[in-house]
Amino acid sequence: MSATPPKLPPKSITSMKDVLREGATVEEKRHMEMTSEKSGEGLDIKLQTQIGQKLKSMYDEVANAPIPDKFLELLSKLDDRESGK
Amino acid sequence: MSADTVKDGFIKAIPNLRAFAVSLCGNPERADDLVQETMLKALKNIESFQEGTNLKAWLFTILRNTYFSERRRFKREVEDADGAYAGRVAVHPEQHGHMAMRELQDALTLLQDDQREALILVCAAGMSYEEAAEITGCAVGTIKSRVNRARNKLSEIMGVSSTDEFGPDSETEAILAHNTSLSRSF
Repeated sequence: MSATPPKLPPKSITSMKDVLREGATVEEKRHMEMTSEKSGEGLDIKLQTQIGQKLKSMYDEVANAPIPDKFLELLSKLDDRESGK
Repeated sequence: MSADTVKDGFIKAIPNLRAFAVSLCGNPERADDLVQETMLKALKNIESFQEGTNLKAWLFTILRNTYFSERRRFKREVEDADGAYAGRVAVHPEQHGHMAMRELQDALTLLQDDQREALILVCAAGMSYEEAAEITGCAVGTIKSRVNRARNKLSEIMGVSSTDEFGPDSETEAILAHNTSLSRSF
């Protein structure tokens, strides 16, 4: 009966702390994993490069297109105005 | 400034003005209206242009002022950009895998106006920070930080899908599809 007194060794407290600390560590780790998935440098640079290329091709597509006639007509009115003077 | 000089300068600038406008407002028809308004305003105020200075930058300034003053007038719900984005993610998660050019346009509309503008000027139009600062009327440092914020925000929006999913094939397809739709609209 008294052979097994309820032991409360510091060990169990330590392990409680360990559990807490470990819990926090896991949380931190998870947080770190999540943020590094989103903004990890390798991925980020790759993504930034792709976005930059897309922006450029979106812009260049229009910039390389022929000028619509209506703008040229508008400018030719300028000539007429000038020569009319 | 002679009419020929003006005309030459305009003809050189028009393709860039159109590209800037469509990147800024995301709508090809609206973009060409903006370019036309810009040209008319510029011709009317050509005396205030200082010969020898950057005509392209001057025209870009007129275009963005026209665009933003109309935008302010119509009071679009720009402040809602974050909320609109969250709603979209919740409603259409299946779209994330397909990063087409259209989605870049959509993502751009989710940026704050000043950040979108800075990003387009520097990253798409190839302007220097100094030129972009001149056009938008703010400090070079402000442009730099706007570009950075815009980049981060876009990565956040577009990085929702795995980068592996927009490899060369789907990207080429997207550009081709976009080109087709553009040549139709222009």
